[in-house]
Amino acid sequence: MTLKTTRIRVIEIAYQQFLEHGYKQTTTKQVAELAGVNESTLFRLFETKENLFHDAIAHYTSDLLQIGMESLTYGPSVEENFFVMLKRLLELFCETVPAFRLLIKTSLVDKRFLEQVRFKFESLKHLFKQYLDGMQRRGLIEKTDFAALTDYVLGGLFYEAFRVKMAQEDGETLPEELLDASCRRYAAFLTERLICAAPAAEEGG
Amino acid sequence: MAANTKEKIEAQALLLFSRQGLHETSIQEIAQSAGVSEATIFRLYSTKQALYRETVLHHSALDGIDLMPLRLSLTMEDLRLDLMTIARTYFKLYFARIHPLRIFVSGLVQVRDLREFGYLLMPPLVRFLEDYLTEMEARRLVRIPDPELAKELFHALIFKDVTFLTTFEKHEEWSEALDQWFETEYPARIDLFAGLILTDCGND
Repeated sequence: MTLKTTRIRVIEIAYQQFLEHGYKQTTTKQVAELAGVNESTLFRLFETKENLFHDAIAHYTSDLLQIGMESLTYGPSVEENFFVMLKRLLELFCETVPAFRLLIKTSLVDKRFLEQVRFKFESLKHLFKQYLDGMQRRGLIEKTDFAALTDYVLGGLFYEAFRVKMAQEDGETLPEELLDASCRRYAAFLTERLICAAPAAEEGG
Repeated sequence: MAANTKEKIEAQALLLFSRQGLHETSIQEIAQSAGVSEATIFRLYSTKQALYRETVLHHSALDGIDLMPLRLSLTMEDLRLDLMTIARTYFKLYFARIHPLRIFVSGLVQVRDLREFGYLLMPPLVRFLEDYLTEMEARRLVRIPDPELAKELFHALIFKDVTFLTTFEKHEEWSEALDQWFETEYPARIDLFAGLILTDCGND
């Protein structure tokens, strides 16, 4: 087992413990035991419980920056483009809900750290707006206030992610189709409202 | 008087649970903040869980919300102006209940049966917007291609903003600073909402 996978395993266990029992009541000894490592290994990887806490949050928001340029697809079907992009975003938001659970505990989180996470969300917004710009420059959609539109779309997905996570915690297993449904709806809406009326552009989807 | 004491205890408990979480808050801390003895708390609530449950229940009640003043302040003609008024009021109402919201967002897994009282979006506000849009549609001032989506987007953005403001900037109440933030950020958004998500019948 590599150090990297050990690190992730410890983080995942730590996150569970922090959520179920709270920060104070979670001990590095417990986490180490449950993760199947020596406490000394844990300290080597994280140094302090506080670092472990912050690293756990970082872990659940790390993917936010990984949705890179390769996710921006500009295929012939506008609606399909949107659907793929939105689905990826929804998955990302679902992954960050755990981080929010910990972040909102104001008194525990370092201010600098909050800034870092907030920055990641801002980057995501910027990315989606760039995507819309790209669609427009390729003549696939009309121009509008992409910044404001991005706000609404990401707001919708953020809320949806919370709904999904809460339903899952209630023991509901949400079929893939249901998760796709929101993304389909948003994609259809964006396509219908934005598609170029210009005769030169191809009707997508 | 037991009622008054309970209110005092729950008011403090609400703040501590909201800022620190259930597990991180001790009865001792709550007792100290409320100016009562631990024994008093245990006499009135028997367990921390019970105190948590009652605190959340009492403070997330929605029956106190009166939307009549809002209704009376709307023009029912100027869509954008009305939407700004509605959005601003909604922000204030969410911030008035920021602590239950923070508690729900941070995960109510500890006390499952409170879920039915939980809300991310406040139902009366959702209904109010629905009624407003229906009325404006009847007056032919707006067309709504997808009413469900429109409602959801309007609210979800407010929910997301409130969550971000309280998480990243630690806001716990509406203030002049937030008012200024709102006046800067929202006009463009409401403009887009009215023009793209709804269709204001200006260009029919």
